[in-house]
Amino acid sequence: MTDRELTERAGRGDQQAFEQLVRDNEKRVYNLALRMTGSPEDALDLSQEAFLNAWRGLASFQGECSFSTWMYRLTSNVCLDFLRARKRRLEAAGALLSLDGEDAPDPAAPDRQRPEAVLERREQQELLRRALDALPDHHRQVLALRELSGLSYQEISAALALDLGTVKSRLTRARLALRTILCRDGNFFDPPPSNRTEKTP
Amino acid sequence: MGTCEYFEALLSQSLDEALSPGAGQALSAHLAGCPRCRETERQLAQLSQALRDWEDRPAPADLTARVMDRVGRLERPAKAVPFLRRPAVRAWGSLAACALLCAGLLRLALPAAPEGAAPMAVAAEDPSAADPQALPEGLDVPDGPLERSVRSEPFLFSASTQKSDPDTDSAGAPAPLPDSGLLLQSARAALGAEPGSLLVLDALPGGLELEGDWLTTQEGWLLTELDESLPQEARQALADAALLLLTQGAGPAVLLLLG
Repeated sequence: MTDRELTERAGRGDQQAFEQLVRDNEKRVYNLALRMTGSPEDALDLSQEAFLNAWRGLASFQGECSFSTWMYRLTSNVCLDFLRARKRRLEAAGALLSLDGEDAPDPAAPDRQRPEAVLERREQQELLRRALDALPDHHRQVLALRELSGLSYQEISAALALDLGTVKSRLTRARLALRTILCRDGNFFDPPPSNRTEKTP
Repeated sequence: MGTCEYFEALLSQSLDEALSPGAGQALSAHLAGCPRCRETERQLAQLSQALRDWEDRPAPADLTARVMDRVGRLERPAKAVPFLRRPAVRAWGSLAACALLCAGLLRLALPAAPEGAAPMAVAAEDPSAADPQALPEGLDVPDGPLERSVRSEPFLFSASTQKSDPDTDSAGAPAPLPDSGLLLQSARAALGAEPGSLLVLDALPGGLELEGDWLTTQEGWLLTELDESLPQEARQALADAALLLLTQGAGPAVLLLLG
């Protein structure tokens, strides 16, 4: 059965058809939620929320995009709502936030005074994860969809209901912002070619 | 010739798709003369590759099951099924005779009530632990299976292994139980309709295990244990919670008071 058929049946209340759609999309949904929130527990909860929203909204889903693209939209929306609410709670609790990348570097980052060393892949991944978490939510969203979920510009445009130009410019800004954070943390990027002086972060 | 900002946008785009020939040429020309943008190109490429190399985790094994469980609960209709039609009730008839329940627990009594009568609480108390057959006066004891009489009004059943309590109201629920009138009122308010039944026991029927505070059986019953040492307000709150769960179509709620 094609996705379209499954979606139509599920829209008419067929739980078995919906279960198949869930199975087919659970990995994508979960990983997007994981990238956007940084937390496996939250990602598990938010994935369920996204699928439940899909179940509730299926009757009015017109098939204007693929079910998977729609799931990306639902997932990133529940994640954004969650992140906003979390931010409000943290702000209300008086916690210092550096969620927009312009603030001081992550104080928890290990002090790596090894300018010449090439980082282990795992350490690099950890730096990357922390840097992603430090991005503004909307930047993290487009980056996650493009680089982690592998969506094309058109698919991101459809998923987020943004025009192509906005998708491209937001991606540019997200990448540059991520680059800036990683430069501050130091040692993520390979050292520049030897005939150049060390670049000051 | 444009500013670096313009070419940064092209650099980003070039990570995702081929540039037009004109844009590609302009970018190459700019990069040849701009070390800053060459550095940006290098970094964005490395960053992009690191992100793409980031392996997906498998979804948690129970994610689909959890989703479908919630879908199932959403879809289960919250109708007030006449108490005695539920298949589980027939089991209660036999359970009432089972060893665990028989330790002081009485068979449930079903008083005959006229049509349209207000829901009533039935208390079957054991004034003497030794005699499981003793019943308050005025209550009918069904001789046959419990499903014999079918009613549309809600029931509140309670059966207690409590020793006789001088505070017991002979017409209503025994003292340790939440106020039945209040319970039923809350149920009506929560459901917006006549509620389903509440069964209150104070012993865990044999063969069931309690996990945490709530147990759901296959038939959709909810049971919880209410420690007798809990203050009245707490037990009331739990009773209210049970009623709210009723509204989610989870079936009658059973409150167990531990003796």
